[in-house]
Amino acid sequence: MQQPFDIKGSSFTIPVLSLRESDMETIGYQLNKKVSQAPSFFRNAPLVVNLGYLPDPEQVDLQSLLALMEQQGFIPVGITNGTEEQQQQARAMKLAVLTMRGSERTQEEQGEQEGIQAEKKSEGEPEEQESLSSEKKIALPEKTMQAATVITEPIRSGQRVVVDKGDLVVLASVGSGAEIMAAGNIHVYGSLRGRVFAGNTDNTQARIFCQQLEAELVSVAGVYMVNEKFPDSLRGQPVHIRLQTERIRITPL
Amino acid sequence: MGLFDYFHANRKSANVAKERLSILIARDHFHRNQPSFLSALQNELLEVIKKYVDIDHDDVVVSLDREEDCEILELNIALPEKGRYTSDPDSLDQKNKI
Amino acid sequence: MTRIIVVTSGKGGVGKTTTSAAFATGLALQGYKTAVIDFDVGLRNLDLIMGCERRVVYDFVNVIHNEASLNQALIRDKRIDNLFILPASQTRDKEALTIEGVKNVINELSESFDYVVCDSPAGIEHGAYMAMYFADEAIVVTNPEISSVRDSDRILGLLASKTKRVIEHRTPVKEYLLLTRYSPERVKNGEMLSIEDIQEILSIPIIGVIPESQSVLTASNQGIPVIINKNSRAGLAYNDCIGRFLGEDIDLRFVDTKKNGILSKLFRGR
Repeated sequence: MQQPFDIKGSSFTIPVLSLRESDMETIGYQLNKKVSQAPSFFRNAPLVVNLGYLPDPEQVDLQSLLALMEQQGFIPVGITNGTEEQQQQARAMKLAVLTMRGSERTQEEQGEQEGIQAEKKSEGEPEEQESLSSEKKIALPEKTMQAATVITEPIRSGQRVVVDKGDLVVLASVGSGAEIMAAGNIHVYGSLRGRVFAGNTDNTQARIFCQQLEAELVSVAGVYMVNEKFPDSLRGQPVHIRLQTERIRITPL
Repeated sequence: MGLFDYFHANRKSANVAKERLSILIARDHFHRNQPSFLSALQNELLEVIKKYVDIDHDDVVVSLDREEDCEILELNIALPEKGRYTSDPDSLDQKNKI
Repeated sequence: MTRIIVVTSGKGGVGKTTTSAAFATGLALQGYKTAVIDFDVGLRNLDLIMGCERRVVYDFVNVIHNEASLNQALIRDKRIDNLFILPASQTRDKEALTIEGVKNVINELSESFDYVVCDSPAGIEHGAYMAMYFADEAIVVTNPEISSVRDSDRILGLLASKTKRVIEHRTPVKEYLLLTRYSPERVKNGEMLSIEDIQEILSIPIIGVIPESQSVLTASNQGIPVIINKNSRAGLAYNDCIGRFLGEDIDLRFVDTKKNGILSKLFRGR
């Protein structure tokens, strides 16, 4: 017999509205301004209200806040970091009371950014589907877009490091025959002897910084240069590599 | 190197190596060839029998046993109930010793 | 008609890559358009021996996975015009090679090349099998050392059973024995298996004997195939192998301590 249902935990990205003021008029005005920047993104979006940053959380009237949010097209689903009283009030209003992980973090604009990231992720990474013997997949902290992945161990020949989001910082050396890739910039503070791919295939603004240029190949947004083409004066030197008029340009740091 | 080495008080390591290697390789060959030879034999027998009777791969069993000096090749061929073409019913289940 | 040559051994470290580089270079120097493919995916070294490691952009696996065209991945040798190198990938594993993929690459090479040299990885696993599968000829590289000879014998067994030629019931792969790191002095002292010993055990024709020589290490240090060095005994011995491979009748050199007594002393340490 088939089970009538499954019950499992699952995580969703839900925008969190962190209030810093309790004045409803100001909040309403700002919220309207925000929504008008991306009306379709926010339409019918579930919303959680974070009361944890308010100097005077007890001043907030949940009832009118709820009305305000609904007016802007949100679907309020819960509150977090409210007072005991507010939590009771929320339950009475059929709102969930949620506990935030790492509740000290600023959650402002989080929803918007994560939405954009989610779109990007679905586009451009067919090659990472393959399972590679010695590939290190880097799991990024979900919360911040700008987060850089920091690797302190040497990356050895045959190893491959792929960073889907943000920058990659390597504090050790990258051996000949190793490959490192990042969606953003790449910094290497040990000697760089392997292959480096910054900006995946599309981020032409990405750059590569290294202390000692011995790389086999450098690439920014899919445009590459092999070691042999490096200017002799820059070999072994600290350099900065970027894309200029669709060509790799290497300049001393 | 020649004969001299054989009579030399301490045998040269190269000779020891060659001797060990010869034995080793002969043994390797035996073990390596055994299964492939048997499965080839099984397949060829199967082909021949198939010309007359409709049988499956698993109906022909070939195995090799060793008893001291002699090797015994055992063939076990199971023929199906119907579709018999052989005239001699005794040959349905055969054991041949070589 | 393109000939596919596999350089194989079973055992590692006996000189497969050095031999592949030497053969490809030697054939190209004789005017044949030659490609040499590194089948050692994950442990690529041929590019280092050929001195083109700084020019690798795409590799064999990229071509097999249609991520690059064969022309994009082939590296033209800087010294010899009709010599091309197809490097292995360092970040994948051997399973990235497929019969179908290798077949496509070899077929495409066959349209314009005279010889394709396949540098096999050590072992008898997938990579070695891929390297030998399409071979017409096999160079079995062996050291005069008991484990190497046994492994070569194992490889000969595979060449006789697992190659396309055998499976298609064509004439079997033509096998040649190449002895490397041979030291006539040690053979004379009874410390090393002799050519005769090894040939007797493996019973395949010998294509050459490469003497133990410092010049092999020097050549790999510099990324110049040793066969180019006409002052080295190893280089000359490889050159003889090419001649024999192409049908010339050339006597073995550097295999006897007496004949080359002075000569070998002169060249020792090179």
